[in-house]
Amino acid sequence: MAKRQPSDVDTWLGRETGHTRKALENASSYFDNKDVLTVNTLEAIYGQESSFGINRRTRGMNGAAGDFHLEKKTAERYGLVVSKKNDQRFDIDYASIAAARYLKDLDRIFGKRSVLSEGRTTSPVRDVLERKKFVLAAYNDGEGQIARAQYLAQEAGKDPANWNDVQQFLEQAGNTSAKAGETRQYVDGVPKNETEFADKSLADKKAKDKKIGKSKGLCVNGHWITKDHHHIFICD
Amino acid sequence: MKLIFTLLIILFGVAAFLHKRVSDNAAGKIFGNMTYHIDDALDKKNITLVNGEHEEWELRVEYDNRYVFGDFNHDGLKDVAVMIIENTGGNQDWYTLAFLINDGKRLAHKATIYLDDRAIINSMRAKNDKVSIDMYVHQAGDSMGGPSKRVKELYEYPGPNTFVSRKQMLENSQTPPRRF
Repeated sequence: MAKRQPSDVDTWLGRETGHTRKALENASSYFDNKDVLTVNTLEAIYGQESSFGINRRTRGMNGAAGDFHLEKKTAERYGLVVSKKNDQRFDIDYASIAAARYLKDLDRIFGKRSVLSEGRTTSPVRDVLERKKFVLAAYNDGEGQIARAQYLAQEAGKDPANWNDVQQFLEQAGNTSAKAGETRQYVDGVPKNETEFADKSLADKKAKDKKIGKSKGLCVNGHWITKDHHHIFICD
Repeated sequence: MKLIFTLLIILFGVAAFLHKRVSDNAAGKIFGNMTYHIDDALDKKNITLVNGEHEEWELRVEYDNRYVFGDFNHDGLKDVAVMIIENTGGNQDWYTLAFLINDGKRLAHKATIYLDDRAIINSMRAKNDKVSIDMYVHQAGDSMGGPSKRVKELYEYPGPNTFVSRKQMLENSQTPPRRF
């Protein structure tokens, strides 16, 4: 009998340490009962972006980097330090919290009519399951592009709160076909992996119900010391 | 004798390294402060890099410190192809090949080929007035940060005002690219 090939999720779960799992569970407490984001969403994005910390790119770079491939500007918006010496996007505790907060903000942005910069406005997506698709699309392609696609869908008489309708306008919104294709694949692929994580991962799905404790308020200002050849960040 | 020979090789190596460094710095000053046409932003526009960067809401453009010279439009004048990174929102960082065409007076950005999101560029060389790029691009099953398909492809200048993706370029190409 042929041996079953391990899936991507199996491979990624093989890399999940107790510390990683705890970090993702803690970060998931930034989600709430108004969304359908869970620790498994974070696991799926962590896998999709950096293959569970394997492909994190270069410290200090402006572009997407670290465990969750956050852009430098996005990471800094959530209080992370980004420099060549100290890039907190590469620290799972900080990166997962920033990613969870960003996802939650995107969920809020697409949960109601939100005015973005440059006068672009999102159309509210009331259905939480449907809204998750918009959140994932915005994580990959930017909320401005997705809001523009919503607007174009509405102008064409389609439903701006329905991803199937809106995704048809990604190219018209300004994406090249390759970019739009990537976003469609992302929105399809991440939830599939999330379902598999929900089935196989040991992470506590109810962690999001726990209140955000003081211990999770990781410090931003501090300094590095070296002790026994280990770099340790000390909060000021 | 052997010692002198070794010293000469080291000297040549150091000279070549310093020459490349000086050239790269000079190139960075020129190509990192040029005007580029951004075709896939929400509003198509021209932007001018300052010290290799341009940033505004949902648009970040960077010069990637890679360039090659060649007569890409076959008019007898030396043109340049440079690597530019474009982000138009979200976390997609597209590596793009920008052709800067020389009209006898100045270089102007005339065409772009979109290579891949978060591609890993190994090298970029001019070959028979085309650009040869050795890089890793995505294939099914890759994470966004880990493209694993190594390809070496030749890119021809696609003509003025052409902004195409690598896939479209390959589909239109007569000669299939060499792959690893």
